Amino acid sequence: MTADKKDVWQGTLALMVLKTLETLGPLHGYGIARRIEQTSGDLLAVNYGTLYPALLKLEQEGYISSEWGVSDNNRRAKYYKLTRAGRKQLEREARDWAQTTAILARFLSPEELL
Amino acid sequence: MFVSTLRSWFLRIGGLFSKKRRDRELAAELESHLQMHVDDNLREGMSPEEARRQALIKLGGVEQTKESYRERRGVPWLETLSQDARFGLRMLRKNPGFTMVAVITLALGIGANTAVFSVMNALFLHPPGMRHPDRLVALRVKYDKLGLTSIVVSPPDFVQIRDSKQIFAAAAIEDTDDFNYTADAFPERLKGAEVSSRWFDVFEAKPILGRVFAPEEDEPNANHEVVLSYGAWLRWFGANRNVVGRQIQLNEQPYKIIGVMGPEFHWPDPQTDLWAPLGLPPVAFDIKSTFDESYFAVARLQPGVSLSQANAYTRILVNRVIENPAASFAKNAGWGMFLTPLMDLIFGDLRAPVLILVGAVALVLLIACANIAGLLLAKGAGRSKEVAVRAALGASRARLIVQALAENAVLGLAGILLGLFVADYGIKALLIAAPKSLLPGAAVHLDSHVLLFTVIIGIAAVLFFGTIAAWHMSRIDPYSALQESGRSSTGSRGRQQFRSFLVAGEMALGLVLLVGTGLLLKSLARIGEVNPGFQPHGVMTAALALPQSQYNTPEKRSAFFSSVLDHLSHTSGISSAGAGLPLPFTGGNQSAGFQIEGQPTAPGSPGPHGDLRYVTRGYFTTLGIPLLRGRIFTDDDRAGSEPVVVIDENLARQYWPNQDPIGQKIIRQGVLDQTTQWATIVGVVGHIRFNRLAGEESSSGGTESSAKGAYYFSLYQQPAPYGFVIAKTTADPTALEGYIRETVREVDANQPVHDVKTMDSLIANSLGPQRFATTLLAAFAGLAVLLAAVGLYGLMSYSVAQRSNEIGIRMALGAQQGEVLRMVLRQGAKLAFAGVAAGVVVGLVLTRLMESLLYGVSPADPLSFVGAAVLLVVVALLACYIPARRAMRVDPMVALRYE
Repeated sequence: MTADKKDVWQGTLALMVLKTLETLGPLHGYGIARRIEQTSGDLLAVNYGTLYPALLKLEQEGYISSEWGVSDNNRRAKYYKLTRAGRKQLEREARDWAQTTAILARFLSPEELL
Repeated sequence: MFVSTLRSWFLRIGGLFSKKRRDRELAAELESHLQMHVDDNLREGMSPEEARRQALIKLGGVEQTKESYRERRGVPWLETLSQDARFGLRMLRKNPGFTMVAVITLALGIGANTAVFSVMNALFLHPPGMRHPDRLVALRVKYDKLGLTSIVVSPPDFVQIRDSKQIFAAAAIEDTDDFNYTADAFPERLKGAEVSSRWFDVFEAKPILGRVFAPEEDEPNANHEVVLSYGAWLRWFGANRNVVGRQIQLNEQPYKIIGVMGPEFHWPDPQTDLWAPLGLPPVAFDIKSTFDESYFAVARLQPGVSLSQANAYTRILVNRVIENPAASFAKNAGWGMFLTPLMDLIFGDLRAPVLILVGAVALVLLIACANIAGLLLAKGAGRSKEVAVRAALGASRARLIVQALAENAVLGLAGILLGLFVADYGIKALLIAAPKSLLPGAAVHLDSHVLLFTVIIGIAAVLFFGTIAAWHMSRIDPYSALQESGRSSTGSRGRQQFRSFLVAGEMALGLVLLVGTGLLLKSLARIGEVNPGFQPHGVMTAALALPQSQYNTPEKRSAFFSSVLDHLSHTSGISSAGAGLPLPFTGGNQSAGFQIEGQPTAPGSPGPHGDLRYVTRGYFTTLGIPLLRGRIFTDDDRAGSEPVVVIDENLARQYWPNQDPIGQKIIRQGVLDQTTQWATIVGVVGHIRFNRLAGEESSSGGTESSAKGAYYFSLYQQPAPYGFVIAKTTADPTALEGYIRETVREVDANQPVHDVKTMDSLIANSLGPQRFATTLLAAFAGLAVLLAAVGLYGLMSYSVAQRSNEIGIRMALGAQQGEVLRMVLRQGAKLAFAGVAAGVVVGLVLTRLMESLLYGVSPADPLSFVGAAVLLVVVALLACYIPARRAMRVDPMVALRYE
């Protein structure tokens, strides 16, 4: 895996994490990973291990915060939740992403090819 | 965005700490993740084994996850750096021999540099007791036509500077004057400085107690206040804080103590005990007194005014005086004023020796670094396998270099710390070795500037030898290094060659320092051979100052000197005694113009000029100044008899060429001299060197041509209120101190004697700077050669150990022990000769820089070069001898068995 691809992947992974937390509220790492997989319609095969460094990075940047809690089936788990800065970051990233995909879509649309 | 990046860095650096707790937390989190996944899998109907296996696959390896998590958590390179440093520390602990040699070598190099730099710092960069020393200037006067290049100034000169406020922030003049202080039964002599009111402002010095002089105290009859120096306050007043306001008796007159200065301020002289206002009368500032110079003038430039601007301004002032037709003397004598940096004036003599020493210690450090680099290379050879394994396991080249540098940084840190210890002792030794006149007080110490310097050179040193070692380490080819299988022999030849190159370089630098030392030693010997024109051996000198209030007539002064000399010359063991002023090699000198009868000086012409001395008959006989014509003074040449004068051969040659000066009459010219009479020349004596054995004469008043003539008046006809008593013995002159003190006490119990010194020691003191520089350079050269010898020894020992196989084979094939010995010595000698050759080339360039310190010897002096080369080669062979003997003793059987 080259550095470029990893960066792109990490960038989108962060956006997915933020969106997941916004939608579902506080959630543990395993739940986030499952949710991302389900939402992608199992198109994405998430290596759950890569999630944890991404979570740490988001936490260091102040977009999410974490605390230990108890899961539905009584397991101790670390719960992540979106911070105020994280919410803003999500808006920003989502907008950027929409813009990027819109541009790419225009490039790739058949009219443009003519 | 930036804030979040900053925040994350902050947290990552924080992540370097409390690692264990964070690791535990991550493990717990991953464990709960696994469990939840396993629970889900079980719910989907998997078997427990399958559920766990699938969960683990999905997680992608717990350890990898932990590792990438950790990398994100902390700052990986910072962690590895500290890891490397810890590893380096372990390596150093494992090789105590290497560590000790390397750290001591580095500490010696760094310590010597720090010590010398601290002297330079105290003298030139941050001299004590003055702020912004670069803005301090001295005002000097010169007479181009009279051979006076830099002398003190007159009050009218000073007024011009003082009143130019746009250029000079403050200005002051000073005249050294000693005081007799009577506290208890014993009279003491205090070193005083009479100063104009702004003296302390010029240096921006503030008293620690009380105040300094007000302008109205710098007036005649109002000037009976004193400011004490810190030393005097401790010594005579027991650091009593209530001393301010107290009355003391100085020269039998009441003075009031108004302030005490701090320990760092002692200008004009480190020995100054007190300051008093000058209180000059208005007549002294009259324009007529312009050419009556006797005051040391200092000024502080306004901020933003450069020295050249101030000097340009001073030239305008000079031109204004010269263009005045009334002052045609100024024009004809080549009179002028100029400004010179105060630091140059005071420490100018020291600049060259100190810079030479700075260069010398830099070379010592270079040698030390080369030595350590050599040691590291040798050690690196032993570690090539370890490095190869690391490289084979995927350590990048950069990673290896960083590791080597981190290891060496530990070494450097140890070297810096020990170096500071060395420097501390070095400075103490320097202060002991330095002549008292050289370094002002105890002002040389390790301050923050010095510490910064030490750290910088320490880092430079580590980078120097560390990079060499690291570069070589990173070049190890893992494939061949692992194949070499640890043994054998001629591998890593490049490294060995590089070590040889380093050692030869060390030898070359050592030679340069040896040559420098040789040149200085030879100059010193040459200066010592200079004949001062008199015989200093066995002569004791003592200074006296008679209080004006008590000795207020010439008769009383004459009577005092006459009875002291009468007593002394009747003391057994004293062959002759005399008195006079000034005395050679005491730093004083006095010169004045005169007029020859029948040769009126043209109006405005400078006229004849010479050094002026007042002496008794015994001055000539005690110093052994030869009489060339006529006679010297007799006891009958006293007040009331015909005024007489004795001149020296230079004056005779200058003003009476091809004539007999005996019987001619001269008269002293002076503004304030009212009792002058024509005096008849009765004798011609030999010329004597007055303040310096070699080069231009100098005195506290300034510098002047050494060929200048002198004339002597009889002390009894013009008795000064102060002077020197001298006495000669065939035995040890120091025994005379007691006699002189006792005799003076017998004549006047209240009269102190001070500065009791032998004439020999006075002359030796005049060589202080040269002697100091020579001693230090010799010490540094010795250190350099020792380090170079250690380097050579290390290289040869290593080479012999590496070649023991080969030597064993040679001996098995019939080589004699002597041949083996010669073979090793030859290898060492080759290096030494290469070093000598390179050193001669470098030396020929570098010794030219020290030309100003040399006397009577050329910087390319062949004897110094040859002597240094021979010494170096001998040391080199000695250093090779031990490894060579070891080679000779190699047992062929043992050596071959390893094959």
